[in-house]
Amino acid sequence: MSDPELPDQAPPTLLQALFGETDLRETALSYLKPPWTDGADAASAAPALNPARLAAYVDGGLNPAETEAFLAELSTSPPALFDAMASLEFLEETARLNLTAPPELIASIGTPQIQAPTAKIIPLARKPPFVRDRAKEAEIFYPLAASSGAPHQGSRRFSQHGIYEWEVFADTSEAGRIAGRGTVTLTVSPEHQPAYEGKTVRWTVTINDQERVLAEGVIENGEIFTDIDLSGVDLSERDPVNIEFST
Amino acid sequence: MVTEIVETPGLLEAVLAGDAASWVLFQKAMANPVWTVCRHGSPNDTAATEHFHAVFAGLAGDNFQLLRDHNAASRIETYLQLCARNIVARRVVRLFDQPGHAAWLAFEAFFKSDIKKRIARRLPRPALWEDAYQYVALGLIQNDYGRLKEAQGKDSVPAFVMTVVRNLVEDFARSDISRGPRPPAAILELPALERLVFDLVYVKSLPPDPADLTMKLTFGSLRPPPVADVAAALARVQRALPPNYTPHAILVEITPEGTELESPDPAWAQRRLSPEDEAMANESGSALYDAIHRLPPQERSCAMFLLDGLKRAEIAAFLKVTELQFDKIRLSLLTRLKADLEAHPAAKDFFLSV
Repeated sequence: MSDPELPDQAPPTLLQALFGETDLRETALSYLKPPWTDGADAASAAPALNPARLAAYVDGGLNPAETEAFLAELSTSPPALFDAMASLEFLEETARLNLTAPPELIASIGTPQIQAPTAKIIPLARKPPFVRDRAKEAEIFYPLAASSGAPHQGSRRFSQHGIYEWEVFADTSEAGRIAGRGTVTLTVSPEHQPAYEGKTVRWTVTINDQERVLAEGVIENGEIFTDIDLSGVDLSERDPVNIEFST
Repeated sequence: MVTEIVETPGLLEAVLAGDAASWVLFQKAMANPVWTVCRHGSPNDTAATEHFHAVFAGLAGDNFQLLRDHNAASRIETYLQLCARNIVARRVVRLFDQPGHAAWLAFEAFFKSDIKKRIARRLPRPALWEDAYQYVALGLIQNDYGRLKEAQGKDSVPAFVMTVVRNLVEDFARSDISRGPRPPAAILELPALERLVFDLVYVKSLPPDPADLTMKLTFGSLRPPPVADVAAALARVQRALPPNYTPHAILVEITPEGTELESPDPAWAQRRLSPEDEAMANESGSALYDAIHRLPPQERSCAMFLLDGLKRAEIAAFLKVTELQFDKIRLSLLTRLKADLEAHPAAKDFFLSV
């Protein structure tokens, strides 16, 4: 029997208030604490969303079965589900902003790499793989890599007999580090210059039993100045560099 | 123009094959979407530029593993922006290892809008939003940014941070602070119904209409008071208050020793529910969450979003359904939950009675 003093309009059930959008929802929530707002455990359990699947879901690239599987996976983890929603809102916000990168920032991307080669620069020759027979008549030196673990701007090597010296300078700009860019110079002692003039010099490393050419150049006027590919190479502590001279 | 470059056949493949020139082209083509993410989440251009380079370093890292993980089911811009969001968030929380305030500025630039959104969804009254943000910020700053430093080791930094934020907002919503100004001593001496009426009229600023107030006090098996009792309680409250009474806000206390996240006056820490009602709420809540986990995936997601305070349009957009279809999903989940809860006597009384 209803209370005659209660207002005419029947209040919603707590269930309806919880899943509705009225101002009663806050009061309803005060009676009920969702388990996903229950301290650090929930936070620690937040799994990482796979950005490739999420991007595919957002762009409509999943078929109905994949979509259902994705939603099923998300709905077992409230932190992941809410992060997916936050990611979607983030993408909507960035789409609204749609900023243009500053021209100077774009211009700085990879600038040294796309300069036109000068006469002295020989393009890198990564492929085909180096054939050892090509160097059978050349002098081959195997100087050890530098062993200093300190941050370095460059490294300098001398041949055992003082015939030549070469230096590697890593590009320390952000873009340079990303691309693993650097420059290598080689200078032949004036006494030995005639003997080395016109020889091809090749810098290589061997990583996981695979030889890789880092740089290659031809000695002209007793020196070489060319790009060197340092991506994935640790000259300071791990990877000894071989230098080979061939005619 | 950008899209044309990105859609150049073989560009991504050339990048993955290690072609340096293609990598440069790719970065230039993707500069705008990545810059948008970085600038959106940064306090200034300098910080955004650092994020920008770090994002491309992250994409190139481990032999372009992130780019290799992309598949043709999505646009490359969408995928890269999601990756960039994760990379920038990771960088932001790592800044807390460094001295100075730069880390907090960077954190706020990246997370502030998400935190504000969370607060607004949990607390409908705008008057509380500023205090709630302050509460969350102090919770994150406590113990030398302990919670944020903990995020450094997590797989998903944004998910971890926002879960921590969600917990703090919930704590705030249940704290004395969110209940607003401390009532005068005369009100604290009155019975529970009078204190609730004071809360509704003088803290939540509802009209002093006994019938309306009764609606707010009525839920499930919690016995609703007669309207006449509410009217009498309202009259007693008004008599107990000094003339022209205006409530004074209690904010978070900041002392030389640190921050106080609790109201300094335990007398105001009155529970809304009796111990019996609290026990019933807990038991019924467990039954409800069990029932939610038995729902089909789409309805389960929908139920969680609704409990988290999301709006109809937001959920419909996420689920890729129209708002009309969403209404059907909500109706369906309510029907299923109702049927499920009817098998549970306590939960049935708690959730399904009016």
